[in-house]
Amino acid sequence: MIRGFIFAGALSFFSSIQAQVKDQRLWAMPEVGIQIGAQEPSLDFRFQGGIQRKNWMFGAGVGVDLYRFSSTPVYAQVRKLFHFRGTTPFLLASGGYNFKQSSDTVSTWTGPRIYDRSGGYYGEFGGGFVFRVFKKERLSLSVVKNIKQVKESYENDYWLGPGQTRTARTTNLYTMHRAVIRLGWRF
Amino acid sequence: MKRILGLSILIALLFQSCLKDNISSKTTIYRPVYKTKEEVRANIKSSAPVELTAPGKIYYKDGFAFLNELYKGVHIIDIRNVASPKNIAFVNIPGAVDMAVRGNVLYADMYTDLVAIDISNPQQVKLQQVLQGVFPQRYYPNFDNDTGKIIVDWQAIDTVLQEGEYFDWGLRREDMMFAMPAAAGGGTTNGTGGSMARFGLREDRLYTVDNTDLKVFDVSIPERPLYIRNVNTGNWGIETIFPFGNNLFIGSMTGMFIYDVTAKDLPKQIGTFTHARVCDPVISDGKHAFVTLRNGSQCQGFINQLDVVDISNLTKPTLLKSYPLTNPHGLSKVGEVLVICDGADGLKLFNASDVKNIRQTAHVKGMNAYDVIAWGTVAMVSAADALYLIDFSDPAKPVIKSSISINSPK
Repeated sequence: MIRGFIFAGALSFFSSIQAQVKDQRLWAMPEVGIQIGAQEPSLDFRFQGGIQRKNWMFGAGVGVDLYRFSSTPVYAQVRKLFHFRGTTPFLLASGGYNFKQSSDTVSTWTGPRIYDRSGGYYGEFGGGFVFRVFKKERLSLSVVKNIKQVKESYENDYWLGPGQTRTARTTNLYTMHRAVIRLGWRF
Repeated sequence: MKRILGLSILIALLFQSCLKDNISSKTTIYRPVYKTKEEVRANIKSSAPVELTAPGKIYYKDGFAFLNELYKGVHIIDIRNVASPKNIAFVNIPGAVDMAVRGNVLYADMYTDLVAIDISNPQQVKLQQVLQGVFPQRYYPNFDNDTGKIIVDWQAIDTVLQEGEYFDWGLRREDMMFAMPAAAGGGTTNGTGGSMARFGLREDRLYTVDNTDLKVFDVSIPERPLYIRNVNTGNWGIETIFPFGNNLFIGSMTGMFIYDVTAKDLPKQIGTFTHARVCDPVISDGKHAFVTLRNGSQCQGFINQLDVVDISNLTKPTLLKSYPLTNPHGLSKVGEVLVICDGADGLKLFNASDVKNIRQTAHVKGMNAYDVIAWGTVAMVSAADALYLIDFSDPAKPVIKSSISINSPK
């Protein structure tokens, strides 16, 4: 699955470069989503844009992801559009990097512990519909399976006997799987 | 529109079974490395000097420094020439934390056992006797410890744990036990320990303390120590012992206890000086007891000071005066010069001719000082980065004559 995300991201990135042809047009889309996972539901906000050529949309985006650890994903995206009874179903895939840079100090009884956090990969796949409201406005409703990673590391002390303490660094890698329902406004 | 929204929610719900947060944890665990007691005893011998890495308590006798390498053994350092100390040998004693020297015999703990080692020739020491099981508290309560084996080392293992997996039993965390600090006493044939010691020699008796108990060993024949008795002190958190005259001064987390050992095999508590819960090494010059109180994760409390206690009436020790310090640890006194290890604030020298007006005469900064033994005009200081030898002929201008650096593991 991870390889799939990376492949999709790479594909969309290179495809977007390749798509520099005349019958293209630009698109942009702010989105808001609700993320459902093992933690409390949370929101994400994204802004993406790019080029559409025929039934393919290639682009890139940036967002604010508030699930568990707030972070900033930056990604490339590709969408394949279909046409069905007045709506426009689509499949999408995104891949990129989830930026996270923070350092939190937490008090423990043995003293303060510093958690350094950094990012990891970010990816999703899913599908949705584009439909019209108020005649001219086009909205996008999508459902995706989304994954983001955050790496966290800290030093912890092990007491092996009187005066015999060893310090080790522990690194936790969080891989968060969520389903996200997003509503976007395409212009 | 409603159908589309409903379908979206349905699809989201279909994903639900795989909506989880996976956490993989890469860390280091420590497993004990065991040897049988027979293997360990066969291996108690001296070797070429080795690097100081995790030093513990210090001991001094006849121009030689004995420095405990925690859980590994004892370094023997020739300091007859203070300006040029020589690390001459290392005695391999797994589990060693405390030590004392009488005549040519080194006593040390080897986990639950007391060992007596002939060090007449430091390069070729000889194990003389093992008293088994005299320190039962030295077992690790959190281990499934095979009583026929001894932990001789710890092996670091890098491992990756998935969420839901737990650390194996080989791991010990800082919160499982509390560290204990450590030295020993005077006499013509006995060496001198630091104020952090748990072993103390007085005449031909070796006294040791653990968390709650005082133990008596007959060392009249140095190479044949004899276990005499265990005295339950009725207190807890005991940390240090300092023999002086006919008394033992025992430092605990809650106070100082004075024992009379006129009857050397029957220590009898005669006085108590209580204080807030902190760590408190203690020394005495016969008229006064000097107690350093410090806080810290093991010691708790919020006090960092020197207490001077009047012990003219041993049954009713009375606080004379307290002096604020930064984070005092071990201390030593020679004549009027009081030397105090003040943790990361370095080493401090005081003029203690008037105990009600103790004045600081010098401050040696740049060392995280732990324990000190002073004799004549020399102080041997155990610090985090080195073992220092300091000349304080002029107590206002102490001079670091030499040092042996410590290469602590990262």
